[in-house]
Amino acid sequence: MNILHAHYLTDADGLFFWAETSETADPTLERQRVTKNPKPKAHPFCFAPDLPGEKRKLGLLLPAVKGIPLPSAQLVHPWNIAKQNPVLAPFLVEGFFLQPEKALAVLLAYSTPRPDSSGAFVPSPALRYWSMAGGLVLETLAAHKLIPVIDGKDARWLPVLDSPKDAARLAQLSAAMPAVCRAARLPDGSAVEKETAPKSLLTHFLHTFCDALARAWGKPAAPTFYRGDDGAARSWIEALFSESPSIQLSPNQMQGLATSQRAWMRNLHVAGDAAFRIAFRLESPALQNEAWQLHYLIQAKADPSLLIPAEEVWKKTQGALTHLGHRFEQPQEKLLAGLGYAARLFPPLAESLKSKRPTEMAVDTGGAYTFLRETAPLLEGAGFGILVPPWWNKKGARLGVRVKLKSKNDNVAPGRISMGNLINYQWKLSLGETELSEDEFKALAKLKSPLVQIRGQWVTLDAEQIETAIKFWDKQQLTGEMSLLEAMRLGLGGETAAGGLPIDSVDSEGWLDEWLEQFSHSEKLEVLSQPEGLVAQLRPYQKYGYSWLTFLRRWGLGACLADDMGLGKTIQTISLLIHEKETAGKLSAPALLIAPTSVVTNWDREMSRFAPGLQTYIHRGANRLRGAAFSEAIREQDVVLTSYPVARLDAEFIQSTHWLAVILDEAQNIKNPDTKQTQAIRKINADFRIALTGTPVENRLSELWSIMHFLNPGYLGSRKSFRESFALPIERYHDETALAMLKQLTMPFILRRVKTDPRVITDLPEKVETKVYCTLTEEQATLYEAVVQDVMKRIEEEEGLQRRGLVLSMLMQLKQICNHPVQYLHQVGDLALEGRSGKLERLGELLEEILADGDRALIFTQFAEMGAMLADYLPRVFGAATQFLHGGTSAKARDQMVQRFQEDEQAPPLFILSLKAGGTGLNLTRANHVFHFDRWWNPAVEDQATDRAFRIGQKRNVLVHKFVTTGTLEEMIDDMIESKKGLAQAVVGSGETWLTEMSTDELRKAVSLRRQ
Amino acid sequence: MPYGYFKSSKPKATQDGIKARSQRGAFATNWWAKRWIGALERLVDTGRLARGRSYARKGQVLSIEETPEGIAARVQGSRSSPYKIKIQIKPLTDAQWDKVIDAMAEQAIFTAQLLAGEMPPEIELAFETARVSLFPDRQDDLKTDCSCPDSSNPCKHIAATHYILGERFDEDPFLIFRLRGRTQEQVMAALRQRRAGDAEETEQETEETEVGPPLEQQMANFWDFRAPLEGFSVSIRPPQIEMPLLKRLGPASFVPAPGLEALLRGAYQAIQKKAIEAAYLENDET
Repeated sequence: MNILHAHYLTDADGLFFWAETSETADPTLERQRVTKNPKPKAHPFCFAPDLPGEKRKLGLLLPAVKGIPLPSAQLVHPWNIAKQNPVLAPFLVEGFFLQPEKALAVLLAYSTPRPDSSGAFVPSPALRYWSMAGGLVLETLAAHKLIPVIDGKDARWLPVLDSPKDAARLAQLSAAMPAVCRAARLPDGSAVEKETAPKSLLTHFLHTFCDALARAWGKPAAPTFYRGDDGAARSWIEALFSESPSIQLSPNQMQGLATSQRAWMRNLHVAGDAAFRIAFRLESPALQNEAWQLHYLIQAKADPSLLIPAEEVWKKTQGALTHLGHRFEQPQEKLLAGLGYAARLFPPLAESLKSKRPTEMAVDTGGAYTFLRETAPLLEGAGFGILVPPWWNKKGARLGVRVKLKSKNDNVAPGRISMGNLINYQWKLSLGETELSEDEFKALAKLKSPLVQIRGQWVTLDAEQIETAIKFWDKQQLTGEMSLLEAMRLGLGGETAAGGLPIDSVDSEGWLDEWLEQFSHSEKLEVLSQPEGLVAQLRPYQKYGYSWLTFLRRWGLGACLADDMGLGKTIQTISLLIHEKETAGKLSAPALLIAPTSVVTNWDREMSRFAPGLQTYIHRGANRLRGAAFSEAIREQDVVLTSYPVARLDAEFIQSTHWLAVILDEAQNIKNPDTKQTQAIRKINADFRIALTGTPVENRLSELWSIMHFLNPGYLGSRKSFRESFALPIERYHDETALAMLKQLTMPFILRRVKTDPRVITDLPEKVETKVYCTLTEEQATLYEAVVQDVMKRIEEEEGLQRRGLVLSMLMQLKQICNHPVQYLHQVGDLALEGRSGKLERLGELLEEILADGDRALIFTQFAEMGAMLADYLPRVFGAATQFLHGGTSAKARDQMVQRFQEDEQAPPLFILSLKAGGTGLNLTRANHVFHFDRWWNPAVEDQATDRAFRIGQKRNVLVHKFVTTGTLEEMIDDMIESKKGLAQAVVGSGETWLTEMSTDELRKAVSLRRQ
Repeated sequence: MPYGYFKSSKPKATQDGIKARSQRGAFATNWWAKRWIGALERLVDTGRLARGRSYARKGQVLSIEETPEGIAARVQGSRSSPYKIKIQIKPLTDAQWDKVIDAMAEQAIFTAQLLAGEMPPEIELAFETARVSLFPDRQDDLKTDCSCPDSSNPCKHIAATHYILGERFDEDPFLIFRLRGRTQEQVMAALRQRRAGDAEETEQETEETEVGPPLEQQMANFWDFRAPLEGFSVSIRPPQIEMPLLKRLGPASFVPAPGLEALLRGAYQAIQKKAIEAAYLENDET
């Protein structure tokens, strides 16, 4: 695991990047000398990430114990580093120094927390901190919130962040600055001056980055000057765009320029200070022809409701206003300065200043409109408080549109409606609650007043709006038909404007109205009783999920069931299919279920277990049927199971088949919309679509788009528009408006319950055991059959002790093959582990989900060799460190591992244990997942191992995953344990020895590979 | 020319003189600065005025300083060492100022506009009430002196200084008050007194210096955010009003035509465009 760190260096005006890594030698093994006045020494587990900058060394003051720096909080590592009583010590780290423009690119690239994977960098909080500050820099630059200034002898671009919102954000950022941001020291560790305060460090960063970026980005568009234009101002402006900020002027010229510039800047803070500001309140009259009143006030920034009218300010004889410990010096003069400034922007105000103590002014309707429309935004931008009538800027106070949606056919019975149904729409102009006919609108427009009263309500109607409205009338198709999906998008607030006018309301009628209601109010969903043919008891939340799937299916809408792992997505989906068959009597066409290769068998097993009434067909393998033969074979089937790779290879005839449904298990497999696989799957022709996934799609927006695009094509817009309006604003800049809109839009189509949901938790047993059915790879199958053939032949020829030994050895070998060919072949050190074992593939898929959730897992195996392979392989794949406890682990090391796992936030989330060494006694309740990678004959031994996590102290539900390789000895063992009959008793008592008592034929039958 | 007296003398070129911002046309933009220039133009012949303007534009005025006595300037002429210039305006008496302040106190607009950096157009009315004039309009209001050999006073060096001063007036309307014997603070304090009818104490705000918490006390979660950053968001979009800050500050009179907004518009737009591009660039993998 690698953590990428960033330090802002005030003396160098740029960012320094370095990385911590857990993929290096154990730092505790190196003998550390602790001296009293330590010179900085090299950081033992850092490295310089390869970035386009200048390689440097940086001194950092870090918490350390016994001369070893404590790893940062995010670094998951396998070492046992003491954490008690750290002291600050200087360390040297190697890294790269980047100038603002390049540094910003790195900051942005790592601005979102990203999952850990091998070799990649996980951004540290400090890096994410600076990237947020970088976002603020970009906002400042994009919004022109910077001014050219003179700083000593230099020309600089100065960001001006003085709105109340800015002040709040700066305060929030200052307060949040990680301590490590202030830990940078000189390379020799010396010059430990007073630490910079977070606020000044942040300000320094913002100033430096704004200046550097504005300089570089503005340069191509820098003004050109003509000969003769060679005044001091020219030198100043030129220095704003040159690499060196220094202004080329003599001291005298400089002084003149600086004086002028200072005079110009005087109005920057004319609106007030940090605590108080000058404010204006505009009050509308009761009747159309009366005058409006503009009042002058002073407002406390922290408490905007604290308003001091000018009258009060004039009465004050004391020198200052005070509020919450803030003083506002010379309020009268500040009020006057503010008024003088406002008069410049709003000339009618000057007249009121001819009195001795002005408190307010009267304006006519036109003036009021000018103030609201033009002056108020400028004053607000300058920091003044503006209190406008409550109706101003409200939805209804300006011209808008409303749309009426009505189904073409009112008497459609539910179930007969599908997304193909068309909806009639009718657009109308509106002013607030009032609908406007064309004549009414024309009459209002004739008044030629930008503010008009309708039924006692003031509304705006300016020339621009009138023009837009006329265009709307001319160009917009006012009535017509749209699809149900489009209607849905409108009804759920997916559009905010039409033809340039804001949408005031969407009115739906009849069943359409009820229908939309059900989407926005989940409690209105009718919960079905479980289908008769289901051989299982649905839990309440599963009944809800199944009803929800059925509801969406009725409308032909695509549904994404995104419940946490272990909550039973499979059984909810199966329930839907049974329900479908039970209601219709017969399925109109088979449903196609596509799953990762490793879980196809699992699906098959669960289908036959929970839904024996459904005809299931598996389409896979080298000899699978194709074309017409395929069509023939599936005709009478209810469900066809296949894998993603096969769905892509056989795309042609799969696409030309009509399916009742396409169901994607682990739908994150289509997260990349560009792959052939995704494209092939999207083209499959079906009545409805379902996506199942356990990964939190709402946090991975490109994945969400791709899945939604499969489910309901076009609903979230094009990929590009989605990225611009949702993905980037949300992921990078935490845009809350965009997030709220996306949630609103997708809510009807995504159902996600997590294990910790209070509704789910009460329904869920504390321990959930699932069988994970895995398949052999071709390599495994070949080895398996070879061993059976070879050993069985020898067994036939032997007797007694010899035969017994052979049987036991064969069982051992077969189990090893099921685990991994490398384990059987004892190719120690063979790195090519991937793609050779069905179990290992499946384990990887499950762990990915578990790690993404931040959970911890125990992985039990009876083979120390397999444990060692996992301990080597998993960190390479996931970048997540592991601990491995086996028979050779010392008691002391074991205790340390357990303690770390239980108490340390940075402990590796995966704990591999050999069944013998770790199956009893230990307390490992930090894990809520237990894997049994291979099976033991005695379920009591497995339960005992499971109880390492499932015991007092466990606060969550424990999920137990028992791996079974289908068609092999392992499945036989599992059947035996499950049946608990006859032989099972013997099994429980005596382990594997009973097998040695079998006749050769019986034995052959028991261990032979049953290929599917 | 028959007499050496009128020998055309080219002034010595300067490197770091104060160049007038106005390189052609009228010298002042605000009405009060025009009044100032007007006062000079009534006193000096057109030839000297023209040479004075040219001196001002070439940067012959090396320095201008406010002294208790008025304005002291150095102007580079044809001789090797610069000439020393003094410009004095007759200060108003205390009694005269009292009357002016009384008149100004009657209307808030005087204070309001002065504070906002503008000279109220009606201010001369307030001075007239006190039977004085704000700008020098009589010969004896303006006392000038130059160390050059030109016997005419005001000479071209004085004229050059006067023009440069005109530009200073543009930005700082209080300069004329100071030359008339009152600083901005004094005028404001007097006005304040009239408003309150009572002397106000002014206290200096003490800027609190912020010191960060010592690192030693932050070792518990050294690497993490020290406060939640939930709700922190930025929105990177173009401004609703272009260059709002330049609009807030008003025209920068010291920047030559076409003015600061027009000169920097392209740069602001380029910066905006690049910032938005950078913000939404697809650089997830660097």
